[in-house]
Amino acid sequence: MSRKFGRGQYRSPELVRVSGTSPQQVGDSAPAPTATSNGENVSLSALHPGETGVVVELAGGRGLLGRMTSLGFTPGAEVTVVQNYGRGPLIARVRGARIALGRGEAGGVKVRRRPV
Amino acid sequence: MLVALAGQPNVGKSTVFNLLTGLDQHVGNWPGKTVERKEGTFNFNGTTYRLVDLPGTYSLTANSAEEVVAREFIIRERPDVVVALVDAAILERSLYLVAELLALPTPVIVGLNMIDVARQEGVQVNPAALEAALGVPVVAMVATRNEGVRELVEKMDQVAHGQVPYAPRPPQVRADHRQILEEIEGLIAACVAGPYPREWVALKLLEGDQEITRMVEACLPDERREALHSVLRAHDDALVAVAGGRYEWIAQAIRAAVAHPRAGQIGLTERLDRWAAHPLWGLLILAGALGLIFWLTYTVGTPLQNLLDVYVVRTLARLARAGLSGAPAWLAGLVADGMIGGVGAVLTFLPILAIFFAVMGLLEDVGYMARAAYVMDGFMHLMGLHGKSFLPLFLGFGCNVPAVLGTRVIESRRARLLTILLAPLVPCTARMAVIALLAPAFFGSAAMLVSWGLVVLSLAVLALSGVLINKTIFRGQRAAFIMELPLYHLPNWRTIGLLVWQRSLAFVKKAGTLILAVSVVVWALSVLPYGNVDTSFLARIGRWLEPLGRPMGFDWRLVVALLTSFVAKENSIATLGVLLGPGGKAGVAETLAATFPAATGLAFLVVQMLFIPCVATVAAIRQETGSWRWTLFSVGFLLLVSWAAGIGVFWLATLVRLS
Repeated sequence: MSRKFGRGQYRSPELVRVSGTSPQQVGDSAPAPTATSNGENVSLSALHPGETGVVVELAGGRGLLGRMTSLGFTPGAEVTVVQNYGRGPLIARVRGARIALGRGEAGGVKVRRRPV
Repeated sequence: MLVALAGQPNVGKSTVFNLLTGLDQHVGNWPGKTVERKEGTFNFNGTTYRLVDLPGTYSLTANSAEEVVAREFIIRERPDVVVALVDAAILERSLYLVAELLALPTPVIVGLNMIDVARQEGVQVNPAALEAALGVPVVAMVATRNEGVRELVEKMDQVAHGQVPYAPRPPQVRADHRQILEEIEGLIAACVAGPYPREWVALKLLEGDQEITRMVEACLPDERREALHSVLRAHDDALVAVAGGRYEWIAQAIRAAVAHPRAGQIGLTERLDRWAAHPLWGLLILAGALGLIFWLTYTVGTPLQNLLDVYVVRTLARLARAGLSGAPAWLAGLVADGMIGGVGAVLTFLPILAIFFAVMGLLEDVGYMARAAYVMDGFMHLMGLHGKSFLPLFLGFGCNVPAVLGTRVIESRRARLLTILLAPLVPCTARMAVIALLAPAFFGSAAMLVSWGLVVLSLAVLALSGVLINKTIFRGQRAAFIMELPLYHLPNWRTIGLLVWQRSLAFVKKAGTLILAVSVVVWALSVLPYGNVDTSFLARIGRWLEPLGRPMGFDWRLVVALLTSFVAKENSIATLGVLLGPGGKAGVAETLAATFPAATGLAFLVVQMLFIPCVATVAAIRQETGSWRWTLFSVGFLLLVSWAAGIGVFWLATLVRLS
């Protein structure tokens, strides 16, 4: 489990872990969406269209993380998946903007699925 | 007075820039970067303002050349005011750049653009409340209807002259970051001088900004560098925390300023995207759009090109010959064939170039470009490319030049470079014209099939090269696919018109000289020393290179034809017309078919398809890569590929006894 609460001086509780792994390794294939249990952590690519999650963790190289955060993906941000056909890139709405992400990039965004 | 115009992409920066500066603008590149730099002047209240349009960036952390350019300008040139445009419909995200700008010492005013679109999308923003929260002037505006722009300039004027109190409330460094920042500041104190604010540099180091890290490391003594490294390593997740902090600041700033009276409604963009971004319908819509581009090229571009060639270029050549009738023959030849030939090549490119710039500009302006990239991303991935590489490559079917110039839409340098390297492998209209003329003579009724096969072969080589170059030179790194899908909106014809004008002009200015020079050199080689092609230096070079062509059954004449196609692809026909003797251009194909076996003919067509692009494309490659090394690599690579493919096809054809 990668969540670390209050370790060190400045990690915020909701900020979990930023690993240096590349997104391809993290989730090129979507984990099969399981039956909705409340508040489970899944990767963004597992959300169905219309589902909303709260970002808990971002994975990726520095460059990708820089781009993701400047496009609105930070821990605590609400993300709603607009389009996701189970393969190929997907569209998500975050902080009012519509962002297209490759499946690998979306796999690096872990969200806590909001119960519907 | 110096003013910088900043903003994230798609916030209407160009519209405001064009409104303020009109035609009084200068377009070039930022020094050492292939990032467009636009600058213009305007007068207000007796003051002359120099307005610099900064590249559209989401943040000021170095993810690409654009961010570096934007912040270097603000830090080093110290503009009197930075006008930051934000999109009211995406206020939260738009303000991220403002959060970064406020950390710099230059005064900022905020243009709250697109309040009409925001209202349509169910977002209401109160500018006064936002102004109070940010502590900087906020002006509501609708740039496309020229509303609020005057007020924006008035505010800018007041701030520039210090007539209004300016008390920004920038994001504060979080308490838990303060100590680390002070530690970093202490380590770098001796190093950071001049225009760079020390706290800002420390923050960028904490964010892992590569450019700043390199800058600081270059001047730190070893033991301090080690100390800095260990601090940064211990906090390597700070990037996300710092960004999160900025969004927290934004959330507080907009809490009082934004209302969602009609939350949850489905906007126009969402409805359009159900079709335009659909995996199947999206592709069909894209195919339709592409069909339209082709239709435009063939019904408007090609005829215009011919008209220009017949009425302008040839008339000019005739006039030059008449005017120089008293002068030595070589001078008339130099002017009429060498120089006007080169000018003609540039000139006849313009209609097609303008059409493609217009189409690219239109698709970008209405917001469709991002959707095209989105639906094509999966396919482009196979070649290690980005969805955004698709449209520029597709444009290559018309002409390779706009394809290369069009790669500017791709942010990642690596993906852009790969797209540029692959673009010449897309068969352009000029190559297809040569094929259309020669294929029937060799293959009769099978010519259509052969032409089709050649196109397929080109694209197969393109795909293969993409995979190969990506795997080897770029070591399989893949450009991350993450981009914004902007809201759709009506096109701004003024913006598109100016874009077409500036891009075409830039091409003529930059590439024009190189094209002219090459045209003159090739002409000179083809007449020196005795005045005819058969005994010219070019023929000698052709004979010298003949061994390379022999495995395909080429003799020196075919080699020379290929060499002259460097000026313009159609030239190989004209050259063969001269070298193969009487019969003129019309009989060339028949004479050629009678002289060479079909296998050689096929190999010639293959080489012609894959050969180095015309000089205009090479000039564009040089302009866009900013590097002779990559330009030469491209030329060398294509020479090798076309030669290998020619030999391969010749052997295959001989094997199946094609005769």
